[in-house]
Amino acid sequence: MNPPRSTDERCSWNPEELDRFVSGECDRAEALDIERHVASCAACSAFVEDRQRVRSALRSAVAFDDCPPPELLGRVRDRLRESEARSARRPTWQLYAMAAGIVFAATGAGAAAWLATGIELNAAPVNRTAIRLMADAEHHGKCVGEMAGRMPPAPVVSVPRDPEVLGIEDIVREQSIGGMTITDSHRCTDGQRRFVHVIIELEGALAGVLVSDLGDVQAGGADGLPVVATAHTSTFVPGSKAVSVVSNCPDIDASVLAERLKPPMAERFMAAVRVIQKVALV
Amino acid sequence: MESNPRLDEFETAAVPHFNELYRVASRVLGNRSDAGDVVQETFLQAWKCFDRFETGTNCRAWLYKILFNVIRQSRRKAWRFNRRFVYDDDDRTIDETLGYLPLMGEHLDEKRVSAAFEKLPEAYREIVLLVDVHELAYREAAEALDVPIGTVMSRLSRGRAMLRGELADLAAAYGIGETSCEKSTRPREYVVARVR
Repeated sequence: MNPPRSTDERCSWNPEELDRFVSGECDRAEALDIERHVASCAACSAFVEDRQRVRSALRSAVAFDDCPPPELLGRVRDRLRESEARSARRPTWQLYAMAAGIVFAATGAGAAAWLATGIELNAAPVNRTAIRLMADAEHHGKCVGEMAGRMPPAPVVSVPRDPEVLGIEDIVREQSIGGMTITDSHRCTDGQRRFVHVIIELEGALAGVLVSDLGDVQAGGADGLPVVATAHTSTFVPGSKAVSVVSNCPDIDASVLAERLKPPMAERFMAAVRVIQKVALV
Repeated sequence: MESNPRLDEFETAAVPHFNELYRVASRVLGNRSDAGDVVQETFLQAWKCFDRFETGTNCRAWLYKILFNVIRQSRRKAWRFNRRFVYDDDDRTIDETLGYLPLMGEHLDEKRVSAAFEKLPEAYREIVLLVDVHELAYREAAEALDVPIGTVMSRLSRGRAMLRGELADLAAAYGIGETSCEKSTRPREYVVARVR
């Protein structure tokens, strides 16, 4: 063992290592090694003792000096029960996935519905047969088209990114919904109902838009929201809170996309749907 | 309402950590009202993704991760970036040598320690709080804060040094017998002496 050193000496031991020791993060061999060193080094001995003293003082100063308001836990429990009751009324994600699969499989019907809306496509390259629609063909299709740069701008107004719903992107990203990229999200209205649209890509290809119904304009107001269509199609069920999935994905065959919507991608996809629903419903 | 076994399971696993999460949020945000909102949102998010939680794994660390996600979201939403606290040197190894440090003495009363702790920059306050007060392992803290474990090590080391420096400053301000050597342990010098 080395003799104790003078307090004037400096030691080359790394403070981070000693901090690991103080935190109890070292394995047995490391801890023994440091203990031996500390016993013979005045600087390190003082360092460790000082750290332990401050740490202990800090723990007693800040650990238990703050209790939550007594009603807070009750409030959280109420919210949990509400959330549970609400989700019990919703279809499960498997049902959503199944519905989405059916939608994507219905390529022909979708294209027909799209064409029936009477929207004139301009000269931009659009693969009509690849446009798959479920509900709200005109309104949501326009959003997808505009985002993809494949649809004529008129009468669709420019839809800016809405900072209030950018949080959706954060949540999706932070929940590690892999393989999926949110390329845009915004709120908008067709004049009757309000929506959150989230444009998604799966593995680099535009896959569709998730649409969440925010409710009736009269009930919630839509001041400041960009109007993206003037007509609301009857196919969307008002108040259903349903999420429609619209795909404008020329490079992906419907069956391939449907395949991708099986687990685990379907789970990720529906995780995003749930997140959007949650954000939209809060 | 009918009993929901899964909700009961969530209660059993998560609610015991409720007070602790509130305390952490309160300390990190410096605001009890915001802390209440953040903890409430944390529990709601935790419940909504409880299906992905594996029973028997570390629920506390999982909740911490969600808590700090929620805190980050709330900060982004409110645009409350604290530009005073820039820490772009997180991953730098502290390659200094240790000089002899006189002990802090017997003056570590709780108010002083608490005041010194509040002065720490956000990133350091968080890590010191998690590891030193609530005794999270480095790995758990890294997951909670979504940073590499090396960042935890360096931030913790700096945070402790800065706390120590703040305590020395406060002691001097109160005129409580700190030595000149202690007064020199200012945050930027961190207890240790740089060799280059």
